[in-house]
Amino acid sequence: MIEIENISKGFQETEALKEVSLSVGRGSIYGLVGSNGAGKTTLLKILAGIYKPDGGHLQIDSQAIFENQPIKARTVFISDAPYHYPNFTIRDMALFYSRLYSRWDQDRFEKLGNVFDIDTGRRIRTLSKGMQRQVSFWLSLSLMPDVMLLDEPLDGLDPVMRKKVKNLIIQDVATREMTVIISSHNLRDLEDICDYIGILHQGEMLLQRDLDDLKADVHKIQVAFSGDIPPALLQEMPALYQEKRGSVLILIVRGAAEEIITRARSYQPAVLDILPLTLEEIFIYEMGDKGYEIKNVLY
Amino acid sequence: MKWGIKAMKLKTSFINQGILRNDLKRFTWIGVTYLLLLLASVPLKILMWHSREQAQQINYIADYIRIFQFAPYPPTQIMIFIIVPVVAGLLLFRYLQDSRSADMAHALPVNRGTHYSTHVTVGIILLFVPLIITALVSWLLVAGLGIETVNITNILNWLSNSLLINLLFFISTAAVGMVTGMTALQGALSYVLLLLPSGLSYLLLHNLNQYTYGFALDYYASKIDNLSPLIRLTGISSSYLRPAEIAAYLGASIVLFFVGRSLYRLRNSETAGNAISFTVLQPIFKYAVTFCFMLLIGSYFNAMQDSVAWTYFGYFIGSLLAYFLMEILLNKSVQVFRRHQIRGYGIYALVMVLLLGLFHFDWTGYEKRLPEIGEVASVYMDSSFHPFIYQPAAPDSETVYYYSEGPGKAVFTDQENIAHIYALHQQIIAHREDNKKTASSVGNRYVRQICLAYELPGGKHLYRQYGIDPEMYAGNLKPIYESREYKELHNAIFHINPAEVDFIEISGHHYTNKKLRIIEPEAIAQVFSALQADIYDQTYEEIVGGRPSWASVEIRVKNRVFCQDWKKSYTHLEQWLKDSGNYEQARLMPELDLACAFIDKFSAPDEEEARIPRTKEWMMDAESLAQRPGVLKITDPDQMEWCLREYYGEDTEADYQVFFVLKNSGIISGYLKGTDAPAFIRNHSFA
Repeated sequence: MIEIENISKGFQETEALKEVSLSVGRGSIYGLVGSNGAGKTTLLKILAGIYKPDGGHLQIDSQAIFENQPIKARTVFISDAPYHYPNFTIRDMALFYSRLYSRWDQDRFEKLGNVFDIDTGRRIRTLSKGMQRQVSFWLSLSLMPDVMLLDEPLDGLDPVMRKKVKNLIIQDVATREMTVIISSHNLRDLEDICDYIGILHQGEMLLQRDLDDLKADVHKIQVAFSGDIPPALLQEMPALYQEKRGSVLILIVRGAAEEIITRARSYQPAVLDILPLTLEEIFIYEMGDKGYEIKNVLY
Repeated sequence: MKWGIKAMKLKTSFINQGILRNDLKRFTWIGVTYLLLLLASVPLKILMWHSREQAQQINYIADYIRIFQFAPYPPTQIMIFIIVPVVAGLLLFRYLQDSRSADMAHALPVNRGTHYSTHVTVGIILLFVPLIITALVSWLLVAGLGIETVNITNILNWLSNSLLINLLFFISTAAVGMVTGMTALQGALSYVLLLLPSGLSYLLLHNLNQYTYGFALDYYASKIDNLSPLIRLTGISSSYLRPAEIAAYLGASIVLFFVGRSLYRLRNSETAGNAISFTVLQPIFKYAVTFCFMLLIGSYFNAMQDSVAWTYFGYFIGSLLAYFLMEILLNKSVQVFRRHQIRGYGIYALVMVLLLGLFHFDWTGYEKRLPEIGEVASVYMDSSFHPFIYQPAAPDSETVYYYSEGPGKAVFTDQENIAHIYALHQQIIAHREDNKKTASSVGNRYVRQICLAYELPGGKHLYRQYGIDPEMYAGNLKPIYESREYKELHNAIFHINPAEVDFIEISGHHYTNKKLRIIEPEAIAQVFSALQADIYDQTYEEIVGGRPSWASVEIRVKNRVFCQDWKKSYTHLEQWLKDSGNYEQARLMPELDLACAFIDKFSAPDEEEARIPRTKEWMMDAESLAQRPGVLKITDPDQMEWCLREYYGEDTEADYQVFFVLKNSGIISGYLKGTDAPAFIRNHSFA
């Protein structure tokens, strides 16, 4: 669905993106994580056809995006600072979008009114920041987009609203195979919604993973032996991370859970536990040294 | 959705309906405000004029027409036209100069070219509709009130000129908006663009004039005023746009539209907020502003101080300030004194020094260039280029007002005169260093401008302009001034058929009521031949001499007035007046009009004194004059007649001051030269 290959973009003195590549399949939710200035907004704006990349290729449905009207009509971008015309009410803005987007669904707009529960006659600029963001979601979802690009969308929303918005997005992804790229400076925000996670750091893509694979693939086990730790165990099960606490050995290991357990059992440990692993931990261990550099985005 | 389907259909079209309707919704207030301003300055004016007293209306009949000539007093309409189209351009493209709104707009499924064309279309609608409504309302009003002085052509002229100027100003602003990322700068640059053709030309000419001896500044300067649409608009009341101007403005609007559209497509959305939105243009903009500022400040110091050193100082300060201000603006930082930036200025300064050096050493040979005398078909020579450029307009027989004819266009074709002028030109070039000194002393009243235009084969011209002290060149000027051709070119009387003259009026000094009207055709013919003979007899000294005339001679042909002087040297006319018995009626006579005259010693005031206005003299009366110590009072008619004939209007080389006390108690003052003075003055002992 979305293919990005070696995209670069520079502004006057800074290089915002350095040969970033990523690919997102139809109907998946891709989480773009990175600290401030990592290049998330730039990447999203390039995808939205706002910025023109300096180099590289990007396509949505095998078509270029910049100045491609049919593609842009199926794509919606919610900026981290959404702009609404001065003095425009929600209804005015809805009329404006309905004239520009062929897929505008008036019924949906009206139905979503129950979820957001803001009077459509109110001027958007007089609403609170969080409410303005809700309006952006409301309008964007009514456009029935195939691609949704969300820049730090959950900032400023209260927990209830976050939940509601996430549900609405997931619903569209499930029912209409909408594709979503969502950015955040915090991995935890995205953990429960994303299929994929990409970590941007200083304009470079550090790592991209399928979350389901990742969670199924990396495990934390706790083993204790009555005697010494059999050296063969460590050779057969190369750990991403190991730590010894007294006689207890904690290992972070890649592989299927079943297989790991069977293998560990073969060394007849006195204790064998599989512990829950948080996403943050997985990333930290996956990235090794670099993990510490970007710790702030993970917690 | 209905609208959705429409938007789909228009996806590749010139304009986008959704954007169009949204713009109209957001900006209709501009159109409404504009309409109100226009209604107040056009149809309301008609009503105001109409509601005046009937008697007054006859006097102000031309006022109705003047409304449709963009009513220059006060210039409300012109001010509106200068401001509104530019403001409309700024508001419609304001979204581009703010990153949030620019991003929002460019995320929409609308191509950049369509964005641009749609906003331009909206601007044109918002500006044109009020103009058209105003014209319609005015027409209805004029027709309804039965105002006959205004016809449909006047209104259509007004409308078409207004539409074109609005279009050009608006599209200029839109196109400029693509180059910059700041609304304030967009506004400033739009006016700069509209002024640039004249402004830059004038700066260049003015600066060239400082280095190039003989540069015909006045000639070239007259050609550039109309290059700037903004300057042209301020003078639109005197003439509507000519067909060539209409074509040029329309062409410029179309070109600017497409230039703006291409730039919009190339412009990066993220340049909102930057001074200049294209990196390539930044150095060009920087150096262009530096150059213009250098010329501007240099011209200022040149005009104020008239010294080369001050001009260079101005160049240095102007370019230095502009260069680093531009650096600050472009980098949005005050830390602009880094090595590469200082080097950038250094290179600029070096290039300028080389360029100025070239001009100083007259590398093109401009200053010494003279045409081949054999090739000169004709040569224009006068003290200004005005008659050369603005040929006297053919008189409009319908014009109600009388007006005086100015001097004709002095183009010499006589080979002998061409040779004389050529010799004069050679002399001027040979003595250019002396002339520069004469001309550069500020306010030197002896400086006379000599403007030359040689007509060469192939329609080529060579223009030169010099400031000289005529006394230095009296030898060269004398044969030219005394030639019949010169006199015929400078005196209207040689071009009037006496049979067409209605009457001639000879009016003496304005303190008296001396007036003589000659109506009989025979007498008119005699006056003509006498005057012509007198003019032919005039010597150079008499032409340039400062003796006041006896009287002015006005020749009336229908509604045209031609003026000649009855100079003191015109003996034929004097004789005719004597013979016809009209002499005493035409001039000041000692016995009839003068009570007495006072003569006093005169010493030229030094510079300090000259600056103080000599109010006292204007309040003089006969009594205070008589009380002056050592003053000479004369009552003898012959002595007074001598003084009347010999006095000068100016105090150059004067030794005595003379005051004629009229019988009606008016006083005429003048000066006498010691060298001319007869015994009765020389023998008097002044205090």
